[in-house]
Amino acid sequence: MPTKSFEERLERLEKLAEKLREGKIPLEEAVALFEEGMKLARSLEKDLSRVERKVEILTHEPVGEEGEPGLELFPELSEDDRE
Amino acid sequence: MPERSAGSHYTVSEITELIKGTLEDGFPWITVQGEVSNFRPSASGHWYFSLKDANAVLSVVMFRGRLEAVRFNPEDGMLVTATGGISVYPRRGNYQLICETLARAGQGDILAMLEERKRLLAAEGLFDGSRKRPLPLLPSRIAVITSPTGAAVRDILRVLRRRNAGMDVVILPTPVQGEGADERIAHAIEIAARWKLGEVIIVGRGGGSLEDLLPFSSEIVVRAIAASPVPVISAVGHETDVTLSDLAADVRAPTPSAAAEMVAASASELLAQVSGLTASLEASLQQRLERIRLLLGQFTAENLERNVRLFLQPYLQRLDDGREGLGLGFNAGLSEARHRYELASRELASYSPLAVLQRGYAVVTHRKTRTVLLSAQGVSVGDGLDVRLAQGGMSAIVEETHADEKL
Repeated sequence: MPTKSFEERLERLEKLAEKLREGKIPLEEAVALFEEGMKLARSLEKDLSRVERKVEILTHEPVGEEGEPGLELFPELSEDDRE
Repeated sequence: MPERSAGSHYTVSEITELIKGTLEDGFPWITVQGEVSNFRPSASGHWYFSLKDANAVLSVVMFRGRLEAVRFNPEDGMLVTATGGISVYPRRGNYQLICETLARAGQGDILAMLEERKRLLAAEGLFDGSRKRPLPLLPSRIAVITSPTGAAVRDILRVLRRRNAGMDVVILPTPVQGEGADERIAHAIEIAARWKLGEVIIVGRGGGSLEDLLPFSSEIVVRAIAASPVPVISAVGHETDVTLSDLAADVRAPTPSAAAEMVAASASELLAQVSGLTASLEASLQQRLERIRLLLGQFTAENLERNVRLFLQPYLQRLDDGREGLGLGFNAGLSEARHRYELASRELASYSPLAVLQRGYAVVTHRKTRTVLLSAQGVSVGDGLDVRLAQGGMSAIVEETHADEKL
């Protein structure tokens, strides 16, 4: 994954909130940290509100070191989903 | 036991004879517990199968005559106890247990076996709490190792959908009971971890008998879970079922549904946490700006004017006082000056020759020398004089002169 993991981003956001709460940093830096924090929060919320998902089943194991695992979409039976 | 002296050799038959004797005399009547494997009744009616555990296999034969006493049909994967004697077959170079009685391992036997296994594996530290890792907060993909047709996989998918958890799922289909299941499950764990098929692995199955769940207590599965670089949730059977995989896993879920809840539950909590942090950020910055605004608020036009005025007030006061003082002093000085001037002016005026003339005096000038006369000396009879009076003047000739007279 190109972006940092969810945990890393969340930890950074917590650290920023704490720094800003202390109030000891110069105003210009405070605004920069605030913007970074809001950007992180938006990306985290985006991850959290992700609803689309893909269900796959392993059909065959990868062959050798370079092989890829064979994955196919798993048919989710709708009769069982009645709730 | 006949032995050869050093330097000489055995024939195959000789050594085999020795082995046969050793084994058959050493183990004439033993009871062995193990898992049935490769069960195949032969055409002759005898039963051939193996008993195995994690590290060894023992061939077993049960002859037709002994079979009536057996009250069950052995199946691969079943735990049984076989009683009989070891027999060696020189022609084939192998040995077998000739089984006289065969019994299913009772619950007690199974539990005892599991206890022993648990003890041994625990001693290796495989169940230590310190080995447990936290689950990733928001995995984007999870690997599920279970039967593709069982209830477990349906439960997991249903819970994930209900929770609106947007995480991808990869199912690694495996048998979850019976012979060979343990190896397949262990292998699936390795594949899932090596090929990063999920940031979390759920290993599980629905409810079943003690024997049904045995693969999840096998040594090979326990070791695979312990060795997995990816966190593993063990979700086997019902709440009350505890398998060794539960002990080895990073997290134990009482059921497969519960496992899915665990993985998906964090989403709403995390959302709340992020909202809280956002609010905190905003509040902190707001506070900061408010303070500044308050400070800046003091710099309104009115305030500025008032403050300047306040600042200037003492100076203005001093200026007024000074000006007043200056004025007073000036006026005073001025009157005095004027006074002096007038005095001097009058005094000067009194020295004016015109004033003197007006008092009756005359200015007499000698016509020849053109000098004003102050004394009669030097004046001779007959000299011409110019006389200047307050008004007009005349010329005169001297008739006579005389010295001072007292006036």
